[in-house]
Amino acid sequence: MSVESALPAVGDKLPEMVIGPFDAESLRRYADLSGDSNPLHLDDAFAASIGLSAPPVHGMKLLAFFEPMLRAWRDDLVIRELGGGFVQPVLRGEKVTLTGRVLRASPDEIFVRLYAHGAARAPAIMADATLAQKASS
Amino acid sequence: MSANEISLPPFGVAVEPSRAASFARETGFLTAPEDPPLCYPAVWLTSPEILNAVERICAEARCAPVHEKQRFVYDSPLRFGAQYRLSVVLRREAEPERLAITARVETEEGACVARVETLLRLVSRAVLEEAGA
Repeated sequence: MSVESALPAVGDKLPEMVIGPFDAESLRRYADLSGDSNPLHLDDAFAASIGLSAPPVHGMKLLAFFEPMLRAWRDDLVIRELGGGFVQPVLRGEKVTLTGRVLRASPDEIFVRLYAHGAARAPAIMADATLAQKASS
Repeated sequence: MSANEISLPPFGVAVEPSRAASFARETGFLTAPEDPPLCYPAVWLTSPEILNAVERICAEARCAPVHEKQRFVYDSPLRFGAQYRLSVVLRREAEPERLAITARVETEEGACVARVETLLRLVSRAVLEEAGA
């Protein structure tokens, strides 16, 4: 068995990934692409009307960044499930740090806790992923 | 089915290769992935069939939707260019007011490919306006 195909161990940390900062053009591109054109993400005045100093980045866009992070970590595993809660907004112009740690690992599945942190102390996203070994061909 | 639950008639969706490639680029893929991104079905959640239902519910409740949770559960990967059928159920929850949207992605032969779960917090427009006051 190669080192690469060994199961991750409980407590293993994923390599940290820093993304952003996302500018207005990036938010506009995601809005056009996803169809989520909520003015909250695109309009400074609208964001200000609910007390935000800048429009927040789409939570869905940030959640999606965990997939390439997970694939870069272990492309010999397949992701069965990815989900998370949007706890705090990440505002336009903020860098975001993605981290992860293995909480459970068995031959059947690997469960990873994931966090996205923006400028705020509390996490912006608390997420998790369930991975499995790829079926041998 | 309860009065707080709405099932939409199933409708067709597709993984458009160029849109999926753009989605991958915008969400951190440095090279084109072998399969469409796991979160690509997010683009189907803004289909008029779903969006119209969400807007109607929010208008009745005098609320604005705030995306609170999102989950994608896969039985098998999506395929570029493939057509799927989306079956969607919207369920109202109280205290706090939420709208749970569950979408089942099936092949045209009826095999389940994925489940997409979305939770929207329904925030009173009055509360939002107060926040900005």
